[in-house]
Amino acid sequence: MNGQQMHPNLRKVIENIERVIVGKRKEAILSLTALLAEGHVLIEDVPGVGKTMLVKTLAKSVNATFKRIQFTPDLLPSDVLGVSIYNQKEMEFEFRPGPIMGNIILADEINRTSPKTQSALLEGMEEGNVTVDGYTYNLPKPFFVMATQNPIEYEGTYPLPEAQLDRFLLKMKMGYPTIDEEMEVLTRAHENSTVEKIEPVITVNELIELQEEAKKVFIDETVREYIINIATQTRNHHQLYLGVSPRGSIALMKAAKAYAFLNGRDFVLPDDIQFLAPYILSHRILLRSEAKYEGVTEEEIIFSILTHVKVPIQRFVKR
Amino acid sequence: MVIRKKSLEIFILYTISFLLIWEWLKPLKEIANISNVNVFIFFLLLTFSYYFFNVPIFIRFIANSIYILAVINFLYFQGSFLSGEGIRLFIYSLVTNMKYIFQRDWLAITDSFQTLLFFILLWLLVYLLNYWITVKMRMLYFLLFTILFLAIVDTFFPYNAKYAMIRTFILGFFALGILNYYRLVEKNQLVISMNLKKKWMFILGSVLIFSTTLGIVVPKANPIWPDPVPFIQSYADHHFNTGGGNRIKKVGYGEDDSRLGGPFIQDDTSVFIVNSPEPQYWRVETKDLYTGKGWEKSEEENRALTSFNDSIEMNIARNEFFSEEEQLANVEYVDEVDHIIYPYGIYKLYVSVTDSQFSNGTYEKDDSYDKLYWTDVVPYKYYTSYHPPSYEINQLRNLSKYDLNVTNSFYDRYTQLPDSLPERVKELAIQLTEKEDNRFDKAKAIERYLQSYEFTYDTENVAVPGEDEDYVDQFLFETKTGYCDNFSTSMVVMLRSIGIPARWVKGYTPGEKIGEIDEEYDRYVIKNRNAHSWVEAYLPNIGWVPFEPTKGFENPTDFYYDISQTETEIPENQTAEDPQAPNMNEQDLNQEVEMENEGSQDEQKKESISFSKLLDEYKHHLIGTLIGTSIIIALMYVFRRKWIPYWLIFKYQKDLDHASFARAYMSLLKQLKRFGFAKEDGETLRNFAKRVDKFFNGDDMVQLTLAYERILYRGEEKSEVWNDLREPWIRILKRTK
Repeated sequence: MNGQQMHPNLRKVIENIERVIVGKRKEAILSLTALLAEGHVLIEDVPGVGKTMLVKTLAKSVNATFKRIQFTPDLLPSDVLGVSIYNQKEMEFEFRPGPIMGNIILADEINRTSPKTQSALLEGMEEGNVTVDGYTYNLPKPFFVMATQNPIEYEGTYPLPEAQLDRFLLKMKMGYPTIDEEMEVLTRAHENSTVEKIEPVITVNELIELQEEAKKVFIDETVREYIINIATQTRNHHQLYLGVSPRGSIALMKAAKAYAFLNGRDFVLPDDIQFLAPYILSHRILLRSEAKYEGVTEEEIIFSILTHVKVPIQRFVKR
Repeated sequence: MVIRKKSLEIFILYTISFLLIWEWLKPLKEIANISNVNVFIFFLLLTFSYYFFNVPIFIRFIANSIYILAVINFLYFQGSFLSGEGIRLFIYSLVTNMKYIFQRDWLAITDSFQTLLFFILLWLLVYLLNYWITVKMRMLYFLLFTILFLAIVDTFFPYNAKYAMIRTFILGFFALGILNYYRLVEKNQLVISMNLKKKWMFILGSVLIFSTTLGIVVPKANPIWPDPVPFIQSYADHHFNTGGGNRIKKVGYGEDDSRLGGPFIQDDTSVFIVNSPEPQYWRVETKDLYTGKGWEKSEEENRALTSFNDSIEMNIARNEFFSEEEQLANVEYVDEVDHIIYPYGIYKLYVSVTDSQFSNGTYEKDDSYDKLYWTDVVPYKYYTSYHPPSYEINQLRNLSKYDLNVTNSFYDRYTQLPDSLPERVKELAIQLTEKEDNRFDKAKAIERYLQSYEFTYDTENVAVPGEDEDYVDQFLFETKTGYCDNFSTSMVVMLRSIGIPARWVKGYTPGEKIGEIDEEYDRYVIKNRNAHSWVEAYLPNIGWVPFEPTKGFENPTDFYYDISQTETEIPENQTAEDPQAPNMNEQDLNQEVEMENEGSQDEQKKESISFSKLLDEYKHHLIGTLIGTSIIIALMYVFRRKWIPYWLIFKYQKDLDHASFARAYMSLLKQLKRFGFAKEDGETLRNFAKRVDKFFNGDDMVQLTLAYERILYRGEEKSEVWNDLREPWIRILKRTK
C-alpha cells in the first residue's frame, strides 16, 4: 500500500513466509490478518499448492506451537479434542489433550471427515474451549485454525454446512503458481530451502499484544456505514439466496481493523474493506440455483456489489 | 489583544468613535430642543480619554460622576449643590423619578433626571465602543446604525444630514479598515511589522481618498422614491384632520408663470379628492401672452358674478362636441388652496349647504382666462355638473380645413409671439407640419414630435433660460429635457408660429384612483405633483381643442373615429363672430356627434411617472440587461471549468483549518469531474488519486488524498494540514482548467 509502512514485526513475518513460499504474498497477508483478528482461515484448494507450508511457516515465525490434524473419514471427535484415560496408578481419569490443544492448527482436508468430528473442531474454534467428559478445557492463546478443504466437487467429501462455514473469518484459495513462480519453487526445492531454516521473529506474547492493539484501530462511522451498505446489498441481491448476516458485517469490520493495523495504520480505509470483502463475504452468501447454472461465482457477485456501493468520501453523507 | 494601548491607531480609533457619536449628538439640538449639547460632547471626550490613558476604573468612575453631578447642578439647581440643599433636592428628584419610572409615567420624568439618564447612556456607549474596538475589533454595526439614524433624521426632521453622512462614511470606513487589519493580524498570528502596517495604511488611505473623490465627482442619481414626508403628512392630515397650517409648501399649482424653467421637487401632498365617473383633465385657467421666458396675461381679467343656478358658458368648443349626457363630479379640498378645478364641458357649479340642499350663493367667473373664483369663503367641497367632450377625428380634420373666420383681435391675441423668438422654432414647426393639409393634423404632428423619443421627461435636470435665451428655443434645440411646461409652451409657440391660434392651459391631471364609490363613481386623489399644463388649439368651426404634448402623458378627452361617417357637413353656423364664445348656440346640436366611445376611455388613467410608464420607457434597457445577464451567466456556466479554479484558490487563501481543507478537497473532486475525471461510485479515494496522478504524472493527488483520508476516516483535526498541501492542491487545480 502506498504511503504507509507495514507494521515492522509483521512485515518480517510476511518476509519469512515469502522466503519459503513463492508468490503467495497476498495469502500470507490474509492469513496474518486473520491471525491478528483472532479469526480462522479456510483454504479451499487442491492438495500440493503449499497450504501446509504456509501454516507451518506462519507458526514458526510467531514461535507458536503447531499442530496438524489430518481429517479422515474414520476420525473421531476424541481424536481431535483429546480423551480421558483411567490412570490406574493415580486411581483417576487423566485427560490426554488432543491435537486441538495448540496455538496454530492445520486442519487438513476438513471436509473428508464426518460432520460429527467437523463440529467438534468448529465448536472449539467458536468457543475457545473444549468440553470432554464434563470437564471444560480452555484452548491456548492465540488459537488459530487454518482448515483446508478439497473443492467440494471431489468425491468422498462431507461438505461443511453454511452455519459452520460462518465460523471461518475468511476463505481463500491458494491457486497454482505462475510459470516463473513454479520455476522458483523448483529451484528452492532443489536447493533444499525449507521451513526448518527460518527463524521466529516474534513471540507468542508479542502476538497477543498485537492482537489487542489491532482491536483498538479506529473505524469511522462512515466506513462502518459502508460495511453495512455492502452487507445490505448482498441481502437484496437478485442472484443471492442468502445474504451476509450481521455476524458477517462484524467479521468484515474486525478483519479490516486487523488489516489496517498490519499496514501500519490506526484507522480503517474503505480500501481495506474493498480488499477484504471478497475473502470474508463470499463463503457467507448462497447463490440462487439459476445463478449457479449461469456460472456466476460468489466472488463475482461481491465484486459487482463493490463497484456499485458508494465509497464514502464525505462526512455526513445523506442516507 | 493585538492593539497596544496608547498606540497611534488606538488614538485614531477613539477619535473616530468620538466623532461618530458626535454625529449622533449634533441633530439633537434641532430635533430634541437640547441646547447644551456641548456638555455631552465634553463628557464623551473625557470618557474616551480615560480609556486612552488607561485611567484606573475607580478614578474614572469618580471623575465622571463628579462631572455629571456638576453639570446637572449647574443646569438645573443653579449651583445650590455647594450649600447642600441642592444635593437633598437631587436625591429627592431621583426618588420621585424612579417612582415615575415604575408607574410608567414617562412624561412626568424631570429634565434633570433625563439628563442624568442620557449621561449614563453615553457612558455605556463609550464603554461598548471601547469593547468593540479593543476586544471585538469590529465596528460595522455601530456604523450601520449611525448611518440609519442620520438617514431617518434627514428624512423626517429639518436637520440636513448630507455632510454628516459623508463624514460618517469616510470616518467609518477608515475605522473599519484599521480594525480589519488588526483582526487579520490576530487571526493569522502575524507578526506586526511596521512595513506591513505602513502598506496597509497606505492602501486604506488611497482607497478612501479615491472613493471619496469619485463619490464627489460622479453625477448623482435622482432619488428613486419621491420624498415620503409630504405623503405621510397628507395621509396623517387626511385621517386625523389636524389641519396642519404651518407646513413648508413645495411645488404644486402656482399663479406666477412669468419665468418658467428650472427643476422642481415632486410634492406628494394631496390637494383634492375627486369623485367622478371618468378620469379627466381638470382645468383651472388659461394664459395667452408668451414672453420668451414664460406666460403672462395680455389683458385685464373680466370677472363677472355668477350664481350657482346659472349655467356656465366656457369658451372651449362648440356645444355639439359635448355629450348630451350630464355628469356630476364632486371635489373636496384637502390642502389649503383656493382655486377651482373644473372639468371640460362644465355646466354648473354648486356648493351644498346640507346633504340635499344646494347653496344659492355666487362665485366669480373670469371670461378672459376661463378662471373661476370663490366670492367669499372657500367651501370644503363643491359639485360640478358637466357634459364631457368628445371629438370625432375625421370631423375635426374636415372642419379644420376651412378658414379661421375669427376677428383680428382674436387672431392677434392667440398667435402672439415675442420678437425675440428665434426663427428656427418656426422653421421646425413648418418642417413638421408641411405634409399635413388641415390644422388638426398639423397640431397632431407637433404633438407627436414632442411626444417622440427625442425628448426626455424630467423634473429635476431642467434648465432655466439665460438672459438672451428663449425658453422654447432652449428646450426644442438644446436641452430637449423638461416637464409639462416645456412641452406645452413649446407646442403653443410652434402652433402660433404657423398661424394656428393656441393658448396655454393650466390645471391638474386626473390624479390617482384610490377607490370606487359605487359602480359608476370612482374616487381620485389629486396631489400637488399632478399640477399640469397643456395646450388648446383653436380650430375653425370647432373651437378650442385640447392637445397633450408632454411626454408620457395622455389626455383622457375622447377622440374617436366614426367609421360610418366619411364626409362631415359643416354646421350652418360656420362663422364664429364672437371669438370669446364660438359655441353659443345651444340648440344647434349636431345630431351626428356620436356618443362617447366607452372602450377607448376606460383605461386611460395616466399618472405622471407611473411605474408602468417607466417600465415601458426602459423596456429595451430592461430586456437588454436581462438577456445580457443571462448570456453572461450561461457563458460563466459553460466555461466554469476555466474560472472556478481561480475562484477556489482565492476562496481558500485564508480560513485554513482541517474543515476548509476537506471542503477544498471536495471542490477539487468536483473540478476534476468537470475536467473529465469522475470518481466511480465504488472507487476508493486512494485508487482515484492514483489514477489522477498517473494522468498528471505526479503524486500531488495521492498526497492530498492521504491527508484527506486522515480527516475523513480518522477524524483528525489538524489545522496545519494546509501547510504542505496548498501547493499540490493549487497545482492540480491549475492543471484542470
